[in-house]
Amino acid sequence: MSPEIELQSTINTLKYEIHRQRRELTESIRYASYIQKALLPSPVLFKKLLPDHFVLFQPKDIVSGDFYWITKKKSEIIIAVADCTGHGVPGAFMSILGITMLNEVVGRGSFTSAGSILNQLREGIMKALSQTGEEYEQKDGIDMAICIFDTKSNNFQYAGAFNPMYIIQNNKLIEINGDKMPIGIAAEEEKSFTTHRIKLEPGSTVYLFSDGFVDQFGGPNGKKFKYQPFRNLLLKISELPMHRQKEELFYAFEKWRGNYPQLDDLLIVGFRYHVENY
Amino acid sequence: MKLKAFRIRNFRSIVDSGWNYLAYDNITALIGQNESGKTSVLEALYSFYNGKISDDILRSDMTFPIVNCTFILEGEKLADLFNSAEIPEPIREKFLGKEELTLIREWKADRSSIISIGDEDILEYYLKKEEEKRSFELVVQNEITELINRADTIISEMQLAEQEQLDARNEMNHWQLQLENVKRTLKKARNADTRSNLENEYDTIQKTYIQKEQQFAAKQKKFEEKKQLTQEISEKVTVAKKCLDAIENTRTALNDLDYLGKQLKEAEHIYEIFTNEKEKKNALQKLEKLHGEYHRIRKIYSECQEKEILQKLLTDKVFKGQNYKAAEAEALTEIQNDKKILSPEDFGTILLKYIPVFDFFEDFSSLLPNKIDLEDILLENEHTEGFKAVKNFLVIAGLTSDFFREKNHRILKQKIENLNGEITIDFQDYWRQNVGKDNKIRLNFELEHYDYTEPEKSGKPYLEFWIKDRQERLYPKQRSRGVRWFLSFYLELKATSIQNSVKRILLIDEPGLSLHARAQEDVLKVFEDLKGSMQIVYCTHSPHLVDVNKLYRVLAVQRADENDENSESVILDSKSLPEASTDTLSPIYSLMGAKVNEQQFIQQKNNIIVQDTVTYFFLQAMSEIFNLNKSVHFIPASGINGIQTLANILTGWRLDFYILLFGNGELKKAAEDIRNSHFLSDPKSADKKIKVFDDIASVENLFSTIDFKRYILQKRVGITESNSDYIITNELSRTLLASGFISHIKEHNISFEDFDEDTRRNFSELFNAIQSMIE
Repeated sequence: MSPEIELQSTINTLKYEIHRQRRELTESIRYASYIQKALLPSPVLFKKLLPDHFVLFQPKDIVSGDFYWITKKKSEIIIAVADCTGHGVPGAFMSILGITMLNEVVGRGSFTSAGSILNQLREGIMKALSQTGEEYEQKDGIDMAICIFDTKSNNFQYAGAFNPMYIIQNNKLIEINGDKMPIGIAAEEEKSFTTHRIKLEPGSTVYLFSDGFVDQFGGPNGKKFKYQPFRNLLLKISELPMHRQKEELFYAFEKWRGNYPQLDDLLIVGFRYHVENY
Repeated sequence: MKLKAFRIRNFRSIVDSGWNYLAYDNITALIGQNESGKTSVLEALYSFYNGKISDDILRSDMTFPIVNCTFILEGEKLADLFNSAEIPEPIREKFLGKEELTLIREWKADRSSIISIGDEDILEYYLKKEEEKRSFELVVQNEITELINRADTIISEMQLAEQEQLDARNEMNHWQLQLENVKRTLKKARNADTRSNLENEYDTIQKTYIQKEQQFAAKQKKFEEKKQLTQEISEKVTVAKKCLDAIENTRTALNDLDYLGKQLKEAEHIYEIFTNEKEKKNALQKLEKLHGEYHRIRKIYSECQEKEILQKLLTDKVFKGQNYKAAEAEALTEIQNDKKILSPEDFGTILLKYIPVFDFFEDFSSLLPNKIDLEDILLENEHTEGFKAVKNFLVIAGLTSDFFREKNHRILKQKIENLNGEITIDFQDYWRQNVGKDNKIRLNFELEHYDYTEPEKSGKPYLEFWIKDRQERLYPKQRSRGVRWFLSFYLELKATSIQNSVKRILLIDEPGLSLHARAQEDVLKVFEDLKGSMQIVYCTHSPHLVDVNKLYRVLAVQRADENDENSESVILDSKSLPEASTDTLSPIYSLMGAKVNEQQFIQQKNNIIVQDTVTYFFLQAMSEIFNLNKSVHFIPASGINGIQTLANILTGWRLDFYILLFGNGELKKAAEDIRNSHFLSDPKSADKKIKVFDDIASVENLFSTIDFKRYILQKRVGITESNSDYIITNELSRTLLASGFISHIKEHNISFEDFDEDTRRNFSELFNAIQSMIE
């Protein structure tokens, strides 16, 4: 065999090997995505606990760093929308950690408020990632908005780690901001998360979301969507049925994105509060 | 400048202490058991300052000590300390914003050391330069390799051309011979046919000959060209050869140095193990010879390094086409310019003059002796008992060795008499102001001569010291250790203040060792008075030399493996104290016990018995900031068994008491026992008097996790279990945590509102329960 032919044959073998590895990796991640999906609440459970709702969830990659979570503990429905550091595989790992911790903290039942769930979650994440505030360690964390809705007393609580919550009632958007600290280690020493207690009026719609929508580049000048247009959009569509709102949001997102690639995972959860539902 | 932190490596039992920070208020205590390595820390700091190490400091693993110290700048402008032309521009810029600086001292095999600046941002510049130098050297080496390969090819080609030229010449000569042969034969030939054939043959051969002649000319030309190329490259090859020789010389010198270093270490070891005087003498001779050799080779090594860099610069320039002479001149100038720029070592040497002076006060050398041979003083024999104290005394007295050369005995006596008076007055002031003692202590010294009772020293002079107290005239060692210690300490302070006016760091080994408790507390009082003018670092295992309210001043030193005295020493700062062993922390434990004893806590009524001192400290501290309406008096029992005993005592004294307990299991049973023994006839009263919080395992669980971490643990870590479980799992000392908590809330003026909602709610509920229990 001439040297040229020998070289060509080696290159072909290497190409094949790379292709095979890539295929195996993709298959492996795709399989992981089934596991991740299984960890997310089923639409049936969501429908049962929040009959009038929508979940707009569009991961950037096969697996996602955003996740949503819902459960009912005694008379309280607890809903969380979270955004983990990174997207793709690293984000997915964090999301699994987050979901597991949420199950554990809420399952243990030692929380007294929405803020205390976030406090306990932060302890769990710090412990799991051995975070002690040293320079060299992993700074990964989770941003989260969590609310507790007591179906008996109609009390509504919200606490946020960066992620805000929007309520639209009487055609007005109320913005409640979370604390400026993540679930995980931060530069500043840990402080308690603030629990906001809100009086919800029947017919109000509540929105919890990650920053995937507002941070998406697009439009005529390739800029971010930003919060104010997002709020305007929600106000505009808030009267529509929930499934229609999801469509409108998705359409607006895709229209804005145009040919730009999706930057981050996209997650918006919205629900309408009706007294009779509970 | 002020010492902020230190890091010690390869120093006796210390492998790597990590960075340790001195207390911000200038008093730092190193606590630990005997042989834990406390004194090594002080010695390492002292060695950092004076550069001296003794043989026993070296570790057996062939590593040499390194000590880093970080200093806080107190208004000093770094750039002003140097000749500005000598500071590289990027470093000058970095100096502008500097608030602290680090110096590193490293020792070598021959015990010599270098001190250099150790700030990473400054070193970055030198590392970059070093990297540039390395890549330059690599480029030069590659160029040399390339040149040698090229030269090799050129020489081979030239040799080949030469051979080809020779072959061509031979061939040409061959055809020339042929031609001449045919020519000769032609001349002789008469036959027309033969002549015609020969003429044809002649023509053919002539053609071939001409062809061969041309070929030879071409080969000759090629050879000349190759020869020319070889000549051209040969100058470069000569330079490259010199460069390679220089590299090889450096490598050889380094190998020799390594080899000698090992031999030196071995010889030292042999010297140490010999006990026989003759053997020791021989070993010492060998050692000294090796030391000399080591110094010689080190010098050679430095010279080789310099030559190597010169050759590399030169080679690079010649390769780039410069002529040898010009290249050499330019390379030398570059080296000279580089030398002018301050190196990290130059910075270190200069900065050493501006850092505080480190003084070491340790009993053997610093405590005033009864007497000392004048010879030892004049010969600077540092290892004589009391040497430093006597030197201090002489400095204060303003005496030099000339003073003792006065021939007239009467004048000398008179001079000594006058000096004795002056020194005593000073010390009395100090003694009164700092220690609060009024007894009039006088310090005298005399010059005496040994008599026949000590035949070996007979006739030799010595200095004798006396401490006079009213009528008594006693040798220093006959006086109490307290007086002797304070007097010697005074001599140290006074002498160093005379010698230098800059800031000082006083390193004190076991201050007031074997002094009684009160005297030790006096030592601490003196430190408090001095902390405004100097930094004090001392080691102790006495509880009386540690302030329980200032545990941030404590660094604990202990062996990594408690049961192995040969394991390495580790240093734990105040935040990590709970991780220290019980033995190491014994001074603090003793102190906590002593503080409980000082409380006047048993009153006529509202006495509340709690299960242990830790619970007591937490509740006492929290009740003070909670502002309880009723005054309550918590009384700590010494564990479960102590509760019953205390209840019995208070009942016997007819004092009113309540019992407050956390936890279940045995505690609950103990509460039941008291209920049966004291309130059998009055179960309602028992309900009122005994309160057991069985869902709260211990008092620490009243704090939210966040507050537990912030105020008690003082550490950022994820905690998913209860606070009490965390303490148990991590084998932390509850006593230490309680002590740290008290110091923290006092120092930072923490109020009840500073705690978070959960903590406030838990304590409010508890204190309200206590108030209603009392009412």
